[in-house]
Amino acid sequence: MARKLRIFTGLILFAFIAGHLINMALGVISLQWVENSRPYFMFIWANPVGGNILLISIVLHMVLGMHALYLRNTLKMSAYDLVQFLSAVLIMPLLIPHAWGVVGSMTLLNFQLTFPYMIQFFWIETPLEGLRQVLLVVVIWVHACIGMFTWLRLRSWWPTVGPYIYPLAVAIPVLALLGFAEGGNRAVELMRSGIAPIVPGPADPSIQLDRETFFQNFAFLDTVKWYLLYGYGAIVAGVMFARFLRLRKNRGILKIHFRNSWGNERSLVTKAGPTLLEIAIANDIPHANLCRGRGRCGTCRVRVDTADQTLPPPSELEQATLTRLECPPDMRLACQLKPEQGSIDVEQLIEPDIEDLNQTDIVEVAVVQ
Amino acid sequence: MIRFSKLARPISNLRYFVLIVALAVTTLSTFAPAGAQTTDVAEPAVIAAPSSNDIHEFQRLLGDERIQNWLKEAAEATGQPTDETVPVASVPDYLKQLVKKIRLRRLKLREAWQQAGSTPDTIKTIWTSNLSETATLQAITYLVIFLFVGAGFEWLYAQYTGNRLLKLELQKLETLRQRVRVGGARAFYIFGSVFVFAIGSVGTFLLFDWHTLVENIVLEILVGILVVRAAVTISRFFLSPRIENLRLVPLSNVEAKSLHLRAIILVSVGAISLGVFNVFNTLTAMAKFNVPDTANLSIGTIGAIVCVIVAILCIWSYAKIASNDQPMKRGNPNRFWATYLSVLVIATFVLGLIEFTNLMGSVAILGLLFPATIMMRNWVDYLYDEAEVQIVPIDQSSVIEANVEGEEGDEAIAESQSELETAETSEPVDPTEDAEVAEHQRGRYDTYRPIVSRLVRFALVIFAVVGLVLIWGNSVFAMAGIQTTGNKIFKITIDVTIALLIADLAWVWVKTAIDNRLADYRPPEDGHAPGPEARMATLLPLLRTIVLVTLLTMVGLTVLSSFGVNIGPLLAGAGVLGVAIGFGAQALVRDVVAGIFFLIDDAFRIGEYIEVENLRGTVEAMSIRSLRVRHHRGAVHTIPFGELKALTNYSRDWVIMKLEFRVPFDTDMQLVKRLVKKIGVELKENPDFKDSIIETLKSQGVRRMEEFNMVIGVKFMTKPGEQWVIRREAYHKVRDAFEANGIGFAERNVKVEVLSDKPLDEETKKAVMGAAQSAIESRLPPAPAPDEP
Repeated sequence: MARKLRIFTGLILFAFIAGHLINMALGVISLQWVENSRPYFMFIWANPVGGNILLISIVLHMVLGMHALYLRNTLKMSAYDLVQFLSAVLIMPLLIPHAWGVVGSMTLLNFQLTFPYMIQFFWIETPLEGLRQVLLVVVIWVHACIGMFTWLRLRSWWPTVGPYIYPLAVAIPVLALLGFAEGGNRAVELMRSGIAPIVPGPADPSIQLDRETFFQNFAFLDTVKWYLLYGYGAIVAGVMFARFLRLRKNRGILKIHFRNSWGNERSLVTKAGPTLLEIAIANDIPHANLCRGRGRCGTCRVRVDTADQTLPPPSELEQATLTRLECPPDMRLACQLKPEQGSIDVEQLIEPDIEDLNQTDIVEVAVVQ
Repeated sequence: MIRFSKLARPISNLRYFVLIVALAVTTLSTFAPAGAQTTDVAEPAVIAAPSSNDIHEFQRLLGDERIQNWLKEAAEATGQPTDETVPVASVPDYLKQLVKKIRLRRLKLREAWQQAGSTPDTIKTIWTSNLSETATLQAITYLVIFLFVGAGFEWLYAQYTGNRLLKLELQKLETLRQRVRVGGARAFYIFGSVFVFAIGSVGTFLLFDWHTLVENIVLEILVGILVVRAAVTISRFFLSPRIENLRLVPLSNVEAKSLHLRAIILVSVGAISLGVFNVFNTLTAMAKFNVPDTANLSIGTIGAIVCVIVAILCIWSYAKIASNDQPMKRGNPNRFWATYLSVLVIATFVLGLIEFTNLMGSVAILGLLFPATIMMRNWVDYLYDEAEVQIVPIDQSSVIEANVEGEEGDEAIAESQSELETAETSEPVDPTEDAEVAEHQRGRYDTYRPIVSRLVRFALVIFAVVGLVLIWGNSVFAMAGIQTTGNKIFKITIDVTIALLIADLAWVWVKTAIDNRLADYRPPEDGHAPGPEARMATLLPLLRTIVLVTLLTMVGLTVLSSFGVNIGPLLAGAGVLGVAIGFGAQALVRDVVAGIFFLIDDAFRIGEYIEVENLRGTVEAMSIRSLRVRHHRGAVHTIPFGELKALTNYSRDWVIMKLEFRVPFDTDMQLVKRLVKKIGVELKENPDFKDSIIETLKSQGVRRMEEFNMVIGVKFMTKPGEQWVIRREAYHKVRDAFEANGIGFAERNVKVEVLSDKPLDEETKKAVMGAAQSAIESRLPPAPAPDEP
């Protein structure tokens, strides 16, 4: 359930971000294009229904992420996971000023925000915000792409389609950033040539804010922003602390022997607690994990040869995958199996350089013989 | 092989400190030339803004005649080399200059130290005077964009090549060659990704126009990142911290990882401090107001100090890891090396600090040369060991085969040999060929190990010399016209060193080749004749001495000539002597050379039966000049090698022996065939002969018909020298078998037809028999060949 929800909310957020960035990418041509095409990209989100869906998605996705962080057994992870994790943590602090600033200034300050104004705002009025914005684009896109591709690479059609989509994944943010930079250049030129800066018009012409309310609202906007930031910081710290409490217990020493048909046997002694896959990654043992430890693909499955303990039974998620793959009972998913202290011998079944799920059947046959 | 690895193993891992220090010292050295430039860069800044008063005063002064004269003199003076390069007359003078220089430097350093606190402010002031805060932030924004574009490109590259890279990393590697190949391919992919990153980031950078300062800084950062990444890739190629399979140095996982980490840290720290220093230089050059010229010095010094501290921390922490939990006490080699390298780093730093740039470079190069030589030697040994570990299966089999071959040779030599019957052509078997190939392979690695070792050392020394020349080049070669003693000694030292190194290289090559050849030679056991290599064993040491003398002479002559001695007459004298000796010893030389070629052809060995023109006999001995052959009747022929034209060797590989029996016409040929076959089997089963027989006795049927009988032929094939005994046995057996089966040998009988009816009396009978006897005797079979023993 949590898995599906995470993917679902992630897809919604991805759709929004992709649209927003493609919109910005038009800035490579001209800022006018960006502004004129904005309604086409934004109409889904600019109404109360779309806006609320977006908001709920953000909150849900974040909560699910926090939950995943709480459940994380080790912070030693593969490069992809590390990037995914760090970008996830960084998104909120980078996003809050922008998202809240845009929403708040439209509702509280009655600003009609246009791209030319925003560009001027980011490049000339508050360049620090401009930098934050660029970082936000980088971080959010990296996070989104890792999530998307980790999900997509399990589809059977992905190996044929993927290579054509990868360039898009680079082109969209790069063009958006170049558009942003180009717009900034234009804005700086305009400023130098002495043209008066753009002043945002009223979002709702029927409302006229007097000076005092405007500044009150402005102060309120700023305070809320900081509250949000501090609140987020508190949540992360709280989750990390809860995780620390969860993992505080010393779980003893675990001896693992990895055996496989491609002749790369390894034995190691480590602290119990993390999953087999996490242990393998932390110890530079190549191990197939197409879905990056989400328990979906089953490429990380191992055969447990001997174990001096009764292994914890497979979770619902793991069992579903194992059933789907028709695995015998001595097979387990390395990304889900958390052996306790003691010793365990496992056989890696799938070669670590597996590229897509279509290959598994072939390898499986070879292994079963 | 074992000999080398014993040397290499216990101390091998600590040598790799040198990597760390080499990096550190390189960074440090880059500060020095930059530091020397500081004044040049700062000067235009000082004179940048003269006030109008100054200009007025300057014009007035220019008009003054005294000033004009003084300027002229000053101009002439500057035409001469400055005090740094002027050769000094005496040692005290030189020392005085030195002390003065150090004192000046100390003053500057003190000033720099006092200003170090205000340096950040200075930087900030210069910065803000050049770039507003907005512009700075915009520059950073751009930088983030460039890096992202580069990273995006790289990610894209990784999507297409990542799996190939992973496959490379997972490959099961057996030989060193594979390891190097796969490691190289991996490095190629990684460099590809760095390259793509560079294209992405620098490419977008070029899309925009820049303020000079921003351009400098952004470029500095991009270049810094690329340099660090290139260094990391190189380190990964050699250390391969994650994949033990691909590692090219003898380090454990932990050691490789920590060394890799330290290499990254050092390169990054070096790149950052160098980048800051360069940026600051650009800044001061662009400053619109007076910047104290010691500000650069303080920045540079701080950067260098940071590098030194980081380097020393890296060295000691790595030493701790490398000593594997052993205490860093006296006697721990790691402690020695860590101390040595720390001292080297500090010495380099201090010399750089007091601006002895040349000396600093020399100390760094010479100080690194020593451990680097040891490191490279160990590394070459390690690589050779690795290369040979994988060759072992081939190696052993080749040894076995070689042994078998040797025994064969010994046996062949042990048995005396004699004449052979003319051999029928058949497919000769050559078991030596394979063994030779294998033997060659075995030698391939070990022969070249010391040579490669020397070659690497040679290369290192050459590098060091080139480095020294580059460092001292300005001062040494600028005054090539002025021949000072020091200059001369320096040049002579370089000449002599290079001559010695080359001679050493040549000598080691010859010596290894000869020694290896001799090591294969087994001296003959008592009672056995010496093997074919015996002559090699006498010739090769002689050759070795000749090469040694030649090399020594050449080196001596080179040294003499570099000292300025005219070696022309010496050479001419030697030449005349050489020609005279050459004419006198012409025949001798011809014999010796011909002997060498016969030896190479392997035309004969000691103990073999040969025929030269009409002389036959067993080869008994060989000298440098001649060959001694003993005829089987005892006569000894001495034949100079120069006289040998064609030579027939009867003792090679196999011989065929043919026997004939005369039987009556009524003999049952099937029975004969069966009997011969049976005898053949018996002979083959006889333990005395079974190793010597190649093809056992077999019947060839009727060979020809004669007047009173037919001749049946049998033949067999044996190893040379064994045929006589087997022939004897075959005769015995055939005779016995024929007798047992009622086959009589044909006897010569003459039928005498008497054309008369009356019975002959005794006398007449005798007369008839006598007549028949003479008829038989006139057809006796030919006497045996005279040379058959």
